[in-house]
Amino acid sequence: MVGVVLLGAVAGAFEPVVVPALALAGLAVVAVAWRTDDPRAVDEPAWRRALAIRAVTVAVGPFVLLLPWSLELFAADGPLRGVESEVVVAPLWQWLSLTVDLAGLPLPVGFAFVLAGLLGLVLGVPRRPGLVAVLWAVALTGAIAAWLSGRTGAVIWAGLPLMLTALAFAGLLALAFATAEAQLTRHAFGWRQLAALTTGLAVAAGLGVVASELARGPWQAYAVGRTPLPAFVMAADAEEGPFRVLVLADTGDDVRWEVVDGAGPTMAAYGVADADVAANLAGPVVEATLGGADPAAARRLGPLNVRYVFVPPGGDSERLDLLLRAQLGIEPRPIADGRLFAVPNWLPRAGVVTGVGAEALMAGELPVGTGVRPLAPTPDVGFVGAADAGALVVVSEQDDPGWDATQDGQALPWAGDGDGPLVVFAGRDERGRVEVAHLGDRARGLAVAGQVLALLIVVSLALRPPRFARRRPDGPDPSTSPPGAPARTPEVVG
Amino acid sequence: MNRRRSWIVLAISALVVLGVVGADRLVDLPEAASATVAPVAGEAVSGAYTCATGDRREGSELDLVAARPGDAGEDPAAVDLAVFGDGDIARSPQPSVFPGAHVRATPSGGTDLAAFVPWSGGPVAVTREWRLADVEDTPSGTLAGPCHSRLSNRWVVPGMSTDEGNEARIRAVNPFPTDATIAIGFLTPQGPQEPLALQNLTVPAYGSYEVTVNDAMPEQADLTALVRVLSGRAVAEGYLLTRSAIGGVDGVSLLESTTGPSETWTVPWLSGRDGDASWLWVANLGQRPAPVEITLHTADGGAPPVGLSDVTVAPGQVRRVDLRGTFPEGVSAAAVSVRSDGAPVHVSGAVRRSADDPARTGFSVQRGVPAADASWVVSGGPTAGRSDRVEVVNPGSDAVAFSVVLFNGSTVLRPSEFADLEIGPGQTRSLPLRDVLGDVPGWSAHVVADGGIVAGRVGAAGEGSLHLLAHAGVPSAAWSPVDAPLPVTAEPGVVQRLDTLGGIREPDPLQPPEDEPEPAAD
Repeated sequence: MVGVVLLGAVAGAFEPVVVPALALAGLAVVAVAWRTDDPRAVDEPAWRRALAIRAVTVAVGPFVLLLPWSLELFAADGPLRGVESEVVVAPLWQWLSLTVDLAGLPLPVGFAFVLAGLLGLVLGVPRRPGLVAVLWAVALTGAIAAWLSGRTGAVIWAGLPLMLTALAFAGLLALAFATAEAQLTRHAFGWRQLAALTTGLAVAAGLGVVASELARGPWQAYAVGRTPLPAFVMAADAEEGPFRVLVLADTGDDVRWEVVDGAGPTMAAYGVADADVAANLAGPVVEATLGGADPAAARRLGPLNVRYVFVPPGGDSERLDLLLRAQLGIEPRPIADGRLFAVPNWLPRAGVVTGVGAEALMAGELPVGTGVRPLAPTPDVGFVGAADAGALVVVSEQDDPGWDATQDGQALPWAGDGDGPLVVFAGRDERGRVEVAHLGDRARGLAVAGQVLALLIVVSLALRPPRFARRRPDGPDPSTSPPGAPARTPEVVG
Repeated sequence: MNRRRSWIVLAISALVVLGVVGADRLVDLPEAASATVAPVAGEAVSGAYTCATGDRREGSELDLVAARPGDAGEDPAAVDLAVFGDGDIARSPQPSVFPGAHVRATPSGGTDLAAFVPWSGGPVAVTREWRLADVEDTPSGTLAGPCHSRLSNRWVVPGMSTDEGNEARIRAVNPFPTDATIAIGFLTPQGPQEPLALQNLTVPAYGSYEVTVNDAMPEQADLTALVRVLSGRAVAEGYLLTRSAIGGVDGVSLLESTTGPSETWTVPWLSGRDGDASWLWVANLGQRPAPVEITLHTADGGAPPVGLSDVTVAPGQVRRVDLRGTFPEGVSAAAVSVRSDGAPVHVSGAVRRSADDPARTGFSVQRGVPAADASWVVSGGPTAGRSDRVEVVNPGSDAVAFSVVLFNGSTVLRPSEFADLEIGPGQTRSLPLRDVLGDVPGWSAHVVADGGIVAGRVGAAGEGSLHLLAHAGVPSAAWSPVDAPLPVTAEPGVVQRLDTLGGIREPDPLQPPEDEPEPAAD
């Protein structure tokens, strides 16, 4: 049960809809079991109680494990309602036949599954018409759910409900195997047997093709063939960072972009949108930069702690190069592959700036004589360092009221308008020690620590060590397990 | 299974199949999410002009005129003037420029200076005028023309000479904080040449690099310079000094550069009067021969040059097209348009004025204009003792109505004789400024039309040194967006997928780059 909770949490982390789906499934199990009378149960109330506890644990466990993230599950900008997945517009028959153009879904697998479904239909209907109808209904439900999800592009990945369809077809294949002998031996050898043989071979061939494709690759899709950023950029991040890198890639249809750390992206961050930096801060600047009408737009990358603009090989194009070269705020750097532009006026993630006003700073202007001194990061996601008299304390993060800055223990006033992309505080007219912290980060740190502890407990319960078997007295087992569940057997016998 | 049940199964299956196939017909297709596209702006919201040629060496004067096109009520433009050289840059904000007005600046400094003029808030057109009067070892003359509003990694100076007392110089400037590297090659009537001494030249950050072309390519009557920016960014153009001690003509002229080839070019003014020699330089950096069709535009309309047969420019060559004797009877000046279908070229025009008195001689080279435009800004410096005029050409096939609004440094003028004018297809129109402006330290003319025209400036001093100059104005294309906006899509994870099948497309190694041929090594 604990293992199911753990797996549910992992699945919910990847596909948030799993969390409410598990909760609903748990409630459904409890409701159905509560209305079911089982004459075999010795202690019916105790059995029902145990079942309810298990179902509720499985249903609620992932939600608890994923706190506090799961609290925002249904928020307007949360992981369910706020994230839009890719719109896949394909006719319903393609979804039902599993031949839709979806990443990770090879074409032969669709034909193999459909043939399996048809085989199950033909061979299974005479013997188990109810089961065939249920399996086909599940297949249709999964396909329709995927079809709707693909068209709306919201809530869940369209491939997820398609798994129901695949499972139903697999069940139909199993049913076909189970009923084939009895069904086919009723008739003399003829077209029925040949058709069944041909279809069965086609299913086997289709599955064989899929297996061979999986064995053959594409392993390249999982291999990192080269460093994602130029080596000297990542080395500079270690020495002078942290800083950010804006990566642009022209696909021919549009320009894909992402902001990553100068140390290079990590797989831990794969698919995780940095909403603050990517959407709120860099997005408008990227649009203006590639809009062609504002050659000074890229200057605004500097205050966002973006030090380089990188176009990887294969992502460059003449039109992208033309627009980037027209930008006055970035400097081309010669590299072997791709294109690299430096942002001369980049600011550290947090720093003390003298000689410039807040408004000019947010516009990306660093006049001659501007002094920039970075602040050192602290373990609790804060920054600390010395400040000059009359300096501005700037943090290249999303501006929100959670940020707080003090100089020698006294709170610093805001210098920005509180609505911009840059946290700016006006320093005092004397030198001192500045500390910057985000108040929400400490509470979040505590919550994360608690979750890590809970996760460790759950993992330890799921992987509990084997126990020695104990002899049980003869007689009926006063089991509280649900009907049909096998009695517990010792994991290891002496 | 009995027959009835079979029919039920078949019927249900048929209904399911129909539902599956017809579902997409019953439900409307959703609109696919599209990438974010910045709105197409008619005018750029910021930009910068770079003036590579023109400095404040002793005995010379440099005027920079930043004119704000537009109508009253629009936002003023904010203009900065940055003068750089020797690795330093000095910025001096200028007053706000209101629509219809201009701001005039006279940078100070020495010989290796250039100007960088960033603007925002509203478009401006920047023109420079460099007057050389008493400069040692330099003939008297005035060098004027628009500054560059675009950045490119390839600059082409279509025409220049290094014979008969001509001294051509190319100056590359770098208004950015990173060093740039350039290489200079040439096209001659015999083909391309790349002197080894002019490869891998460093243009320092906030600095300039000047090359005397005569040192590398002496005694060449027809040359085209190709400046390639190998790293960093640089702006290149040239100027021509003509000394009467050798060729009998004194003069200086700006050698404006182009950034890309075109199939159409218009030169606003060429002279056909006695004593003047006019010609075109047509450079073909492409891979195919360029058949060139020339049209002379006069006040009566367009016509082919008299007695000039078809001209073809071989690939990798520059050709001089002499226009002496090709003007219609009684016509002393004309505009010229060049068309080379299917083989884009670079074009400039030259006028060499000879006289008994060397002081009344002059030399002017005009870079052609690749496209007609509906809005132009033409600016100039002091008018005292000069006769300047605005030349308007209609290279199109439809009549165009236009008006000219002047600014004399303090007042916006709307002379009635410059309002509601019309110019027929192929015609030219000359608008003298002397009577309208009087003696002013600087002026701007805003030419607004309801169709495509080309506007330029022609002028000379009435007494003393001729100071002949002719150049095209600044079209609205100079303050228009660089290119169509690219749709952008945020895609977290795109970096992790680099070099994978799920990543971005890889370049096709078999696909040759669409580029012009490089001049062969010398």
